[in-house]
Amino acid sequence: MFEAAIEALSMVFTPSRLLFIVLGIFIGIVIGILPGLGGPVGMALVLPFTFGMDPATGIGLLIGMISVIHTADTFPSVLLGVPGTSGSQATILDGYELTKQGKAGNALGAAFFSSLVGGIIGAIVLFMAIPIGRPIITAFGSPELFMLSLLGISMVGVLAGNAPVRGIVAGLIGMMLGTIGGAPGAPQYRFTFDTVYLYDGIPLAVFALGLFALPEIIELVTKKTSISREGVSGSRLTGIKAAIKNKWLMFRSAVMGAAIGFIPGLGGSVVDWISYGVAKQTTKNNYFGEGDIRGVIAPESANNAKEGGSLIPTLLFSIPGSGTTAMLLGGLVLLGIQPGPSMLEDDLPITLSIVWTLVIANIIGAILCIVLAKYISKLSAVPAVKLFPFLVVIMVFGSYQSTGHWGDILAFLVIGLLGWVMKELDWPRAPIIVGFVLSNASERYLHLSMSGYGISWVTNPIVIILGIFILFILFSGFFVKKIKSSKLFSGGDEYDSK
Amino acid sequence: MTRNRQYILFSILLLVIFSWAVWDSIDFQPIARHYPLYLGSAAIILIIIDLVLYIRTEKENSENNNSDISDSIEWKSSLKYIAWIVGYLITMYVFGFIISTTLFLLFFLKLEAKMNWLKSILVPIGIIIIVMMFNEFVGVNWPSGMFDIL
Repeated sequence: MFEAAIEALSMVFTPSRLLFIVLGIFIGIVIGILPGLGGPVGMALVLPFTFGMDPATGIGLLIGMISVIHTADTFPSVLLGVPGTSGSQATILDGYELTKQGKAGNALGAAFFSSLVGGIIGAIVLFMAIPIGRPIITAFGSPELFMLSLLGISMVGVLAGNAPVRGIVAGLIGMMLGTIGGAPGAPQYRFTFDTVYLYDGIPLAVFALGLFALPEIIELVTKKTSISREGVSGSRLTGIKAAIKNKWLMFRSAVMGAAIGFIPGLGGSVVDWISYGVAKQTTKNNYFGEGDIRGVIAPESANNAKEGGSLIPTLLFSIPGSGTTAMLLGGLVLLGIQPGPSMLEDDLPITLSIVWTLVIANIIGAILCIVLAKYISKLSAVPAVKLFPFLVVIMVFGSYQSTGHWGDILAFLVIGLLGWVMKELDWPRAPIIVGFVLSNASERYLHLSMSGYGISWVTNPIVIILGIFILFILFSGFFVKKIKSSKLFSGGDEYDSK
Repeated sequence: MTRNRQYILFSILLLVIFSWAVWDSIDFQPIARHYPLYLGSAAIILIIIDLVLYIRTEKENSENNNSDISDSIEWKSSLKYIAWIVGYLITMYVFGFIISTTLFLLFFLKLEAKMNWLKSILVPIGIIIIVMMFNEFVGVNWPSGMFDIL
């Protein structure tokens, strides 16, 4: 296997293939920076160009692009409070706060370095999972998947801060909004008002843009300020040093991200929330939500590692976990590669070239973003009244790309107004998005578990382990005092104090 | 309107919406009914609890002379900018993305951002060129209007 890895590395390190990796990186950076686009749009853009390419070159282009989307999506999340993609929502909570404090450079440096490390760890996980992936994936059935979605929902309590009842209600609002559309397991449309647009529910990109982005820019322009009230300062190097100082947090968030990404259909939109919530509960002396750099490190490390994890079921089982990996699957077939058992045998060099491409793309992408950060972060000093109309145009344009239907724009406006009212009245919004994302999945897996196993599934070993973990997360106040003394779980002292 | 009243009104609105959702879900098929029914019922109970706790806290605050500050000026300013967005979308619905975006950028930059006429005209043109390039090379589409001239 190691000989094959060296052979794959020499395949990747040819000038023409490196060129296409770099091209994919540039496309991924643009896609990540522009809110509302995300992996599926990037895939749709790049796939037609892979016709007729040799497999290693085409893979370089495709993997190069998806590897850095979650690196570059940090720009709008940190600088503007607008989620670049669904994987960068949690980053807003502390990253945007740091920008307001004039520390955009710190946030971006920490985020890009964490993304780099997370991406490499995700690639290592993919490499290690190649021989052992099959039994692990087959061990996860609907009961285990239901417990994983419950784990995500338990983050609602963590994210509610000092208003637990309001936080839970917010989570329930999100879960209720997630029931709009077709019911899983039954021929029933719920709360659609007989509107075709709502048959598939509200698109996540529209939901996230409206809930987080619109209220932020309305508040900014109302206060007649710029995003950074302290001017543009902060140092990328300081941010990188903070990430290195919190290396255990970075490492365990990346491992968590890769593990969650491994599970098809669940990880993409909640991996950042889960890693953020776990970090919040297990990091000492934290002030998450008020500009704690560790609130940037954890989700950014996790969301890049998730890409490596999500490639495991895609490559080994042809099971795509998201729209992006579904299109990647199509791209691989176009290149003449058949995902499945052959990826471990005849096509092992291809599989390993994917691993190397992930590593190389994450390194180059992070370096490019660190270099660009100095220039792009100046956006945060522009008066909000001049930024406002452009952001509105970008958000409306981005929302429309979800389904290409006017309903996207209406949904964006309605959800945006809801988010604005909740922000004004100090209702937490993070639990809403977690509830929304996990509503369908949790209902579907619960229904499958009950109809397939009755009640006996609650005694499955993995279900019990996950249940204990959920209880730990919810009631960690007592447990964490003892565990926090362990260096492995300390986040370290805040490198850059407030 | 004071913040207290805004909060109470919003909570009542949520109660009404969840009550309707619970009532509507009763007519769903059994498999499709349970989730929204139980979620909605739990939400109704928790909203009532939250409202009671809120009113009690605010009563204590008013007894301690912690006044409820009304920020009506900020609300009016926020509503103004929301009106800009709504106007932009209505124009888009009628004339399509290109014309509405040009007009929105032009008038907002001139009237609110106080840019001069030259910049207010050149900037929207630049943006529209970028959008058209996106359409040409990336293949993304923009919303059409009833009278889609461009």
